[in-house]
Amino acid sequence: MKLPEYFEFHDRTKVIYGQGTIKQTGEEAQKLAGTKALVVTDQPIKKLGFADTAAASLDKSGIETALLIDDVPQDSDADMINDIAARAKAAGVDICIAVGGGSVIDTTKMSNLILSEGGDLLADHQGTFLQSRPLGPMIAVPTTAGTGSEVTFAAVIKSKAQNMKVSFVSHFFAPNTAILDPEVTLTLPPTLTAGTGMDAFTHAVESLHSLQSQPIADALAADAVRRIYEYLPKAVEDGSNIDARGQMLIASCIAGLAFSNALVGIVHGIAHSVGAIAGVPHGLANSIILPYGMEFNIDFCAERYAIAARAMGVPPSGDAMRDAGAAIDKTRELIAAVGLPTKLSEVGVREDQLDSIADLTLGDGTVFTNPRMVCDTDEVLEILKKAF
Amino acid sequence: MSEIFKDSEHFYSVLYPFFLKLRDDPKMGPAVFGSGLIVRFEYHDPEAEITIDCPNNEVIKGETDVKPVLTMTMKADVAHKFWLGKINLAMALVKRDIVSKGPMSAAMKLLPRIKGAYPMYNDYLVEIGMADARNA
Repeated sequence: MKLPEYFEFHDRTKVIYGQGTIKQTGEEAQKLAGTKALVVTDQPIKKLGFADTAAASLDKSGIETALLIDDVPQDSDADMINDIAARAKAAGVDICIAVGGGSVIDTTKMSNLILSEGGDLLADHQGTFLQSRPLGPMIAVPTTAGTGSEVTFAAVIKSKAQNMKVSFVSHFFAPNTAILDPEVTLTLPPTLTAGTGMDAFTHAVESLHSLQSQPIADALAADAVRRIYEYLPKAVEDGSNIDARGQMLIASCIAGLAFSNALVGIVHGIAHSVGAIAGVPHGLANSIILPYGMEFNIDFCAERYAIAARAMGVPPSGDAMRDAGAAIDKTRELIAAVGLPTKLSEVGVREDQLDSIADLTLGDGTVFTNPRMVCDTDEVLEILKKAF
Repeated sequence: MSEIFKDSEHFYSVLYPFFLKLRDDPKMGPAVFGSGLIVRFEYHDPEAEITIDCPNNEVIKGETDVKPVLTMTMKADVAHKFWLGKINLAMALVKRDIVSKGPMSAAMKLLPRIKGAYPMYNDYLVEIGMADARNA
């Protein structure tokens, strides 16, 4: 396989894995010289007591929870982030702690950006790799196994004004520390486990087919595909299976590292648009679009999908196209095994929304690294109509 | 130190007429200026600034009060390679060879349209007696 002419691999995050490690939050915050913490979570996680566990750990280490935000919605808006940062600044916060899923972690990343650098999120910080110096310290405790946001450089935030999801990317956005505690994912319901798990799977597959794919990310992505294919059905079937939960947390983190460096493609672009226009959760949208996106791309990256096929136990046939086809079949088997819908029409997307979804997708940064060049809406509609 | 441009004046003498050529081209003009965007290209080494004001069909040389939607900052030599089609944009962004400030969606609308200009720039360099610069 041909090597890229040039690549960079970045990883800024210390990763801690283990049962009960959420109780190390305070100790880790202390190592980062925190004294006053912003703790960000959402209502379901607050009710489960995980934010309190993290806050108790901070308290034990002599770190005050100066501000608790416990109402982060599924898609945070930029105004909310500006407001959180202003309140955090007033409270003297010097470390940010996220306890939650992707939206909570992304909200915390962007709050940390405004807290550290000031300004308005949309007016002053939209762009790619604009940030040129480290932000204040941040710790992430993911409570889902899907986004990988605890190690990624990106944050996706909803802009109500533009009615779209806006991506922010910088190596400096990655948290300093990620605490992977499988115990905090034990109560995740099966549908959410499946949707978030397929999000991680999509990260891995898309980092393999991305035009920015590279050997280190490939190795990580292939390992993530292998773990998810084996353990996601087990975690969905029996949520109390701590081994499967741990494997999924690790796979999600690994896939996060892979796609953060290799980037993704049109599957994510469409999923972002489906989320913005029809409100479909990101992981579920990715899961529905993925096999159709792979079929759309197969002629341009069969060798890349063959890597995924091998990771899912398909012996190499010597014919990359055949192996790539097997990867798509295995992907569909996985989706069926975890019981997720396979059509957009099943999750509330209306046919009259497809044109605007296609149009919005063309403006998504992920399209640029898709292996098959996408230049007009008809090409996106081709995928959408099949997935409808 | 630029390998291509002696100074800002030299840079403007090459790039500004090229932007005008782009605007007036029957195919590329509508494609790029039809984006409706205002994009500022900020160059350094040597320093220069060109703004394309698509809604007003204008190319502005030097500083201006026109407020851009998107600002792309890069070295003059990177710009030269960009118009030659020799830049991997995703990697250039990661390496901060090109810094894009503003909505990603705006950049994504513009970039596929710009790709058609690469052969034009190649031909243009020959026209103005800078054929050797194509090997940069």
